[in-house]
Amino acid sequence: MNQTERRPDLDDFSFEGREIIVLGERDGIGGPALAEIAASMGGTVVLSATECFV
Amino acid sequence: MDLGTQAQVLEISKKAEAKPVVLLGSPDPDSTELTAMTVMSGDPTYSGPLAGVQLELPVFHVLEDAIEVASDASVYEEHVGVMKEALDADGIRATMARLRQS
Repeated sequence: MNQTERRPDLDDFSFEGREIIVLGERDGIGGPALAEIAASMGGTVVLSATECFV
Repeated sequence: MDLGTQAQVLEISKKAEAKPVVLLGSPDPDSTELTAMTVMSGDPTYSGPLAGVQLELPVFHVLEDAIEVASDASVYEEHVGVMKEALDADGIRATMARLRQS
């Protein structure tokens, strides 16, 4: 495992072709909205969840 | 994070050839830290399937500037829009930066 994977550089990281897990929250941004954003970055959404943090 | 979701994240991570990326939509710094820690270093509450499991997945929050830049502008505006102002975006970004440096 390399350091870049674990703590990605925000400027260099690419979502293109990556599998993306979206974890939304009811009081923030929900899973379906995150999934559309993730797809627009070229990623493939493999899990979408919307939770309620308590 | 919901225990069922933890189980799904674990299963997906085990099967994936490359580490999946996690994109968060949590509403505040505390929930952001809890969820990010769960997929990086394991469930800090020790209550779910990810307790003690260090997946070390790359994690981003949707309110980070890099996500706004990388995504389609119209899609981002439609789904985030004013929430960027309503939520504690500065606190969330600071939390994510601290977690990456830890």
